[in-house]
Amino acid sequence: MNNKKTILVHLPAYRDPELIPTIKDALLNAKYPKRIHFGICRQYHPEDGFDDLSEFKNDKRFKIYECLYNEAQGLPWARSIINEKLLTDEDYICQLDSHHRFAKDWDETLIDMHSGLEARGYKPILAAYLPLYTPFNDPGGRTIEPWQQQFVCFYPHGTIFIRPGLLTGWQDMTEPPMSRFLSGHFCFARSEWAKEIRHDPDIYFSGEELNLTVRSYTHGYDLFHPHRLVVWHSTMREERSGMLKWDDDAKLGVDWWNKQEYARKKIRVLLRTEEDPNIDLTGYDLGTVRSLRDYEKYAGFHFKNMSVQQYSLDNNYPPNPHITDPDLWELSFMRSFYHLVKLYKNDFPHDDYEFILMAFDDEQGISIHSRYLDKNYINSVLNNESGYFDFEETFLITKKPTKLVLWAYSNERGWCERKEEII
Amino acid sequence: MSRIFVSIAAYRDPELLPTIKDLLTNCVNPENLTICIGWQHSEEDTWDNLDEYKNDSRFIILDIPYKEAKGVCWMRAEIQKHYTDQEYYLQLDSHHRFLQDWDITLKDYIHYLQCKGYKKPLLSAYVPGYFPNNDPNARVHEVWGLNIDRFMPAGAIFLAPHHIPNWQDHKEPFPARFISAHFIFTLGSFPIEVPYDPELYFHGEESSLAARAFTFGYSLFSPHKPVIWHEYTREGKKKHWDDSNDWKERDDASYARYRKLMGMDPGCSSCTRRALAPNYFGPFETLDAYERYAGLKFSTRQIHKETINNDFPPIKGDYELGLTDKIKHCIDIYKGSLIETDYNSFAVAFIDENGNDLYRKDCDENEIQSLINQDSNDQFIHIWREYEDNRKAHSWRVWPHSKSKGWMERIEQVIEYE
Repeated sequence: MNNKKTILVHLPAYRDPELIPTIKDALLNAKYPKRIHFGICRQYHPEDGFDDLSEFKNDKRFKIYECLYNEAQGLPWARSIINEKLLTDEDYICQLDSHHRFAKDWDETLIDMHSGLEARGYKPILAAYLPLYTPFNDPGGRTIEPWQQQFVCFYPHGTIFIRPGLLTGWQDMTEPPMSRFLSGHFCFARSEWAKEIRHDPDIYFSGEELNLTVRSYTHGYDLFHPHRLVVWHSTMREERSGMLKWDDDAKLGVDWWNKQEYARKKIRVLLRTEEDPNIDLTGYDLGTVRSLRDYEKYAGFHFKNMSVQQYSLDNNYPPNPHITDPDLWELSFMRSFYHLVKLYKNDFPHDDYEFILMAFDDEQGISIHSRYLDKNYINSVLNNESGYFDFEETFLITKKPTKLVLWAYSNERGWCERKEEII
Repeated sequence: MSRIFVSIAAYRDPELLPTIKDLLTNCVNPENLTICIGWQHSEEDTWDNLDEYKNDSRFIILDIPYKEAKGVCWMRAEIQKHYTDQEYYLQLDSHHRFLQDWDITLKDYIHYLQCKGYKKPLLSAYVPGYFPNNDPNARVHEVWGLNIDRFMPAGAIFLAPHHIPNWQDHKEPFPARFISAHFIFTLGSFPIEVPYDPELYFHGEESSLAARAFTFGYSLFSPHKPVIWHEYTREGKKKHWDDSNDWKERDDASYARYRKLMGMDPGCSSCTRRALAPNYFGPFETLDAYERYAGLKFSTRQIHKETINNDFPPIKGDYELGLTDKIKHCIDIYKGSLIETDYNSFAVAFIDENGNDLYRKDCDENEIQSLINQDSNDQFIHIWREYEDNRKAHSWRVWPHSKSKGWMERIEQVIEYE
């Protein structure tokens, strides 16, 4: 192993009964436990009892910042405490949540993976939506395949919905594939990364990962998925139901909505899709090694148009094929398609519909976009005096639909009234 | 890295050197090219000396005395054997001109199509023409589509370019039915997955390649802008069939092979295929899927209405209902048999076994004049006729009429199908 490299395990723990099992599992499975340091931001409730760290207090490897749960200011804040107050001269940082399990020799595996990429000239960050473990059924309940961070869609407010998906082809991989996104709950990098790309305490949970991703990429970091099972993660939603940050905030009457709105606006300013002179990005802005457009080309996203390339939707690993011509690049995205859907009571005169299928088809009758209008919706919009209702349907396309089919279904009569419209 | 393997099949071509120079001059990264030249040359020729490239590591020169040449498909198959692991494959003839930055432009088109979800795009076209004696002034600034002209009686598809109306309005490559052998740009996997069939001679090369590429998952497109030009007329320049004694046998064997592999002969075509060429078609799409995409049917030699209309593929309407029996035939008549000077009409008909007309369209005086005057070096006149019928004509009949002498002797010939 690379001569005595140290790792800071970054653990922001909010009232987490899994904190201590996580620490113990990390040490138990490390090849070189003496070189594993812990940076813990413990946000505790005095009555919980399960996250008492006193057994580690005299251990030099442990650096602990403690605060009461009602003084905690959100996850990015906790992460920034760790990186700015607890991280010192460690070589690497392993950014986690506080509920994890570890593969044997995980420290060596990650350092080797990282060094291999550095040897090829990259400035790597290994990032993963980790496979799952279940605290009450471990190791039996572990997922035994690695996942990747996948694009799902743009949220209306301009950030991206990211979700885990299988790391396709991982068994045959000899090296980590590139990634479009970082992950909040697992990043392994040189500790310089954590010092350079600071966590923005204003970015309250949603959008945190996209924020870190574009800032890291534009600062010259290269994003990768680990192609082996190294660390597991638990969602902890059930285990800590009622004890999560937003639950407590709600009880404490924190104005979560306003914080969220501000965070979203700040990300839009970062992504250059909105201008607002009142928002100051100092210290948390894009880098200058690469441009935002470089990231968009790499990942196949167009932030301004909130559109994506089919190549990214198909979950092909980045970088996306490089298009030098700017006009051709603009044209390479799926487009938003709008259609005013008109519903007439005369076309659907009965009252027994279970649903109406609304399908936009291409010229060969292949569906481009479809969804069901349910019973309640139909009744609420069609039973009015005019006998008419319209609404705008919007979706992403690469190919223009040529036909709209509205086809009603009733439990009694099966598929019944059908109406077609040529677009 | 993005290296390009360039296949150039050259047959005694004075345009070879200008083509190589223009290729290199207009390339942004000429260091990334591997240029393999099938150099079929004669000691007598003075124009295609490749000495200056012999020690250039980018060049692989296959030195073939022209008498040992076996046709263009064989040559291209030999060139492909030298492909190693380049990311892209470019196939050319040996008479071309290139747009400045052609390499970046073509890669952009491929990447654009990949970003739109086509995993293996393939660009091909009958590229517009240039004229060596007046270049670049005489270059044609248009783009053409690739379409079927007709099924030849011997079976193979005869391709023809078609005009793309308002081509300047196109902003992206458009879908293609066929491949033109003189310009292919695609991924480096192509020569490995769809290697050239050395046993084809000339006709049939392009249509079989398109069908095969499709079944290996390639998406066929044509560039929407002129990127490369090609010399079409090549008057007075030597072709393989001018020099070869056995080209006719090769050509016949090639037609027979094409019919077998494309399922045009009766019997079990997949058995024949397994015996003749087991990996001819790929695992991703069937030949039937290609026929439905392109709008044609090999076994019945039918062409879809939309194909005839030059609509872009895939076929949008009903496939089966749209298939038509378009027949296009060329009647060749020896000029020596037309001795009169005052013909005013030819009765031209395609007839069945019993002598009944299946289709008749006569030549009037104007058509006769233009046929006779067309090419004074040609010993034949060529009467082209096109019609729709699902019955096969047995023979054609031309019955000349002279103003002064009335009906002359009828000329008839049985049509040889294979």
